[in-house]
Amino acid sequence: MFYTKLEGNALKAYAEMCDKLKGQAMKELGLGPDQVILRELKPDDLDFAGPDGWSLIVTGTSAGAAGWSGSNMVGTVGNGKWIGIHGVQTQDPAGWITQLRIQREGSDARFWDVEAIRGYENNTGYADDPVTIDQQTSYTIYAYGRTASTLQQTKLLGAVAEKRGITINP
Amino acid sequence: MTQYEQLEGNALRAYESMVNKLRTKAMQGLKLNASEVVVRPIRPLDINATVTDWYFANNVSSSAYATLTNIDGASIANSRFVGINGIFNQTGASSIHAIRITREGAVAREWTVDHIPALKNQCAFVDDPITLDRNTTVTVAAWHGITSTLANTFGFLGAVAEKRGLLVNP
Repeated sequence: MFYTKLEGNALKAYAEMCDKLKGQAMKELGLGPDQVILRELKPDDLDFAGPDGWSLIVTGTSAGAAGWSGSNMVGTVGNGKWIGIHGVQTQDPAGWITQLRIQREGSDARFWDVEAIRGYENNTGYADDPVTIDQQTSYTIYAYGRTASTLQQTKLLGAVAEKRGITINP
Repeated sequence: MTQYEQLEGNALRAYESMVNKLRTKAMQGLKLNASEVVVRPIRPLDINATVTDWYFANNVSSSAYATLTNIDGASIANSRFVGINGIFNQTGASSIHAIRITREGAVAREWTVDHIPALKNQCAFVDDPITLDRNTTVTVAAWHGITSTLANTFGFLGAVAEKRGLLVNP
């Protein structure tokens, strides 16, 4: 379920996701809590180009033969990174995604219906079932929509745990 | 029974109760233990829609209940237990006024939906969710004033309990 605000169950799920990411990073890197940081998910954590690089490609036709597309959303999480996704923001005026399918190591980990989020006041939905993707884990993110489009204002919200100083040193 | 703008309070309690009911039914009906059952968000295909996303039409121009196209009235799949606890409606000056859900030939819910486009998040959560067991027939009819296409602007929010790995493996 996608919540309209990051509070209650959605906030609890987000906090649990962050704890899980940090715990995994500490355990697998052999680091203490002060040596692992959590930061916002960036497009390039998922192999998109640059900080403004969200560009989900949706394949569809005007005849309504909508399709799943994951052509630009295939990758492997970098060594030393643990990624969590807990929300979707969609502001694209022309087209929109209706569903997201997140595949991890070739197996579907989440099947999210995100159609309602476009009508949310803040165009943002927060999941009560965030997904985590460990370091060196392959993923494909499939988007479904009816209009062929490249969505540059549809973003995935999440967090990344990694060694302090790799990206930032808060 | 009423509808709420946010998934909190009574609506949240009803949602959690619905999810518990679905999970228990799946465990008992499929003879699985807790870790073998997953609960995930609902998709149109789960209520036998013939389309992957929420894309329906009303072909009745007079004020009357009419079955929505693309929901074929077949049975819920043998392995799934479905719950609906919310509605999103982004149809603007609403062309759809009320929804009637018929389960095994008997009317199980009638929900007014024409106020939802005016709500902040264009969705509403009920305090009387409906559950649809496996192998149960379901029909969705809508009360319209005009012929309209509900092109990714109207749909349900809910959850499905099923065996882990059937669709997703969280």
